[in-house]
Amino acid sequence: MAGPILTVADLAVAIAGRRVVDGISFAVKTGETLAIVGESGCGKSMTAFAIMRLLPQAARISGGAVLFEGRDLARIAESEMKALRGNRISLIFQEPASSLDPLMTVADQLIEAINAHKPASHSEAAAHALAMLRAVGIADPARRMRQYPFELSGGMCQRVMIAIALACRPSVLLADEPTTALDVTIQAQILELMKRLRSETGTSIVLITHDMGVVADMADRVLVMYAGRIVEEAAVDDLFQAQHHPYTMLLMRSVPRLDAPPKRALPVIEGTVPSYAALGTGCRFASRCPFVSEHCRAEEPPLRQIAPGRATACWHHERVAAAGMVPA
Amino acid sequence: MTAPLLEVQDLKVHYPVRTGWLSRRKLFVRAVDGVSFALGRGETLGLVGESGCGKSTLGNAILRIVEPTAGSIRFKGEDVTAVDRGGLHRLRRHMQMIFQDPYSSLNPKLPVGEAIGEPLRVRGLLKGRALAERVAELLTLVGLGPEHRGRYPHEFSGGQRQRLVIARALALSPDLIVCDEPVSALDVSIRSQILNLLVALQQRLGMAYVFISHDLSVIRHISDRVVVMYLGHVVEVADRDVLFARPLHPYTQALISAIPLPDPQAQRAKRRIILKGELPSPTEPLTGCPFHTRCPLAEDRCRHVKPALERKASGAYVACHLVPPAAAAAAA
Ligand SMILES: Nc1ncnc2c1ncn2[C@@H]1O[C@H](COP(=O)(O)OP(=O)(O)O)[C@@H](O)[C@H]1O
Ligand SMILES: Nc1ncnc2c1ncn2[C@@H]1O[C@H](COP(=O)(O)OP(=O)(O)O)[C@@H](O)[C@H]1O
Ligand code: SF4
Ligand SMILES: [Mg+2]
Ligand SMILES: [Mg+2]
Repeated sequence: MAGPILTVADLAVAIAGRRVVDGISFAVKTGETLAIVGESGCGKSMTAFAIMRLLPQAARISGGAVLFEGRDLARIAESEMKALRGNRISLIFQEPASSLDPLMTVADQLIEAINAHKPASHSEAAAHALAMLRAVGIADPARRMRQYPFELSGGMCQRVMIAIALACRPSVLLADEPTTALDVTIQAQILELMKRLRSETGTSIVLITHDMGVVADMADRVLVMYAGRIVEEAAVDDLFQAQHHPYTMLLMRSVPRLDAPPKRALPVIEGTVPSYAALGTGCRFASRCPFVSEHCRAEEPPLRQIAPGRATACWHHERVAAAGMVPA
Repeated sequence: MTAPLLEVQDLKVHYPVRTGWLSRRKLFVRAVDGVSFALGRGETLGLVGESGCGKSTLGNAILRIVEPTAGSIRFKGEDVTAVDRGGLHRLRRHMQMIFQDPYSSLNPKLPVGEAIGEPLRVRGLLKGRALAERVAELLTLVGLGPEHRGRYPHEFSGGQRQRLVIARALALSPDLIVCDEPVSALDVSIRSQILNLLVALQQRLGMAYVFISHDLSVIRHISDRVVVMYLGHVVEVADRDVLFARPLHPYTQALISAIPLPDPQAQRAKRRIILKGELPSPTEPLTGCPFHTRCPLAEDRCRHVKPALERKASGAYVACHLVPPAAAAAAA
């Protein structure tokens, strides 16, 4: 497989002195779909926003590098970033309606996105915009071009967002919970669309989600995040086969499944994500972990490679994986 | 067979909508358009379908939080739609509701102990020490413990607040709780805690649930019987195991096939039905089957004749022209 198109090295994001993303590293290969999973508040969106340099005002990149097409996105000037954003690297959000401009027609938003990077005559840009709407499966695209976001459903807004994000054929698409706000039948449509565009264009995708089903459907490789850190990394089949971190294991087992006995007590993750202020010296998962030992409370486990392409940050990962073999 | 706890018959809720203020044309959103089902004591009826299909409207109509346009709702033998205010007050002692958003369901200025005891106090059922003891008992039931009674809602996490809302709903020992997407706003790890609590409470206290969710995996986990809704109509009703083992309505089949399975190999191998398009506008008058605009199997008659909800050989009730009726299936 080709080398990485995007490399994140020891990235940290701070909000009011709290490291909400705390030294994470990963690489995305060309054409690959990398999923990032974890509960809300664990730093998934801040990671994506940091890569795109779209962090909220209170947040800043406090360390690390984002290497993309020979540049460090964490350091380049905003003008340089602007030329890349939406052009070579794009982001789509969870709330499609609120990420479109309510006062502009669909056509104007698409044309603006195209013209920002690939200036063309109005008629050329309009033709490209129409082709993009058709490519993302919008029925009656000529009519939709003239409409405003409020006239579109959530699923259609998300299609328009994807059309805008992909109009300039970026090499990397970051998708932050792109289907979380949608119904399952519309989610299935959008995921199929993303798969088709991926195979047609070879775009790499970083897919942020909390849904293990979406991960299983879309991802080649998976990062599991907890409290600002990566706690496990593996190829998708390997991860579902055996979990080497208790958090991953519980995240997978705590959801009701279509193939499990109904009404049976579901495994739970006790407690809640610790506040960043309350993080002590040991493992960040220690307060909720069924495998916890004295060692865990005293010393934070580093993310260590345990097999090719596979890493975990747990002192007891062998015991955890062995326990997972026993059906819960 | 004993009489069901709740029996809904041909229920309709139509909301009038204005179409611009000079227009004389009166339009209605047919949010619930002829729904029937029954629910026994201690059972859980799951109500599932895409957003906008009328689940919340139906749940609200059962408690008469919205007024039904037509049809009947019999609860413990009495018609909820026919009683006067006093009768409704009396009936509501036995039916409670839990909503999706635990934040807006609790008064921020009230210590949670008072909020939980409020239904008992307002109805003059308990006071003083007996009330305090009941509140302590309720807090313990939902896994929080009586020491929390003096704290305020903002001091609790989302999952804890949903526990408080559940405690308040239990205060009057209802026979029925309508749960409208009670876990949809919660994180996955908290969701399983609340589902476990709801199942355990039912086993212990024996109340029935109408459990509303757009998430079929959750519906399967908690329900005994499932109603699948589409555009205000029931398209399929069946016992849980029958519905999930052999969904008969093309919409139910599409819904189940759209759930991504948390198992990469099974997910890759699975047969998928990807529906085209989206829900039609609920104000457009409907001809034929409500699902015909998106149905992969639609024939000419589907566009003109509305299929009735009929019993099939599996015991499921299905509204689809293409599923043979019980007798025909048995003969075949
Ligand atoms: N605009 C903001 N201002 C202050 N804190 C924020 C802001 N957005 C997110 N946070 C905090 O940053 C942390 C990581 O959030 P986020 O990356 O959004 O998590 P996720 O996407 O995994 O749910 C959380 O603790 C959250 O409370
Ligand atoms: N108060 C109301 N006035 C007018 N239309 C409404 C009202 N409440 C809901 N609706 C409409 O009724 C339909 C059903 O809504 P709802 O019962 O909330 O569905 P669900 O809970 O399944 O998402 C939708 O088309 C919705 O827009
Ligand atoms: S290091 Fe210890 S506390 Fe942390 S996840 Fe592993 S077993 Fe649990
Ligand atoms: Mg997020
Ligand atoms: Mg609803």
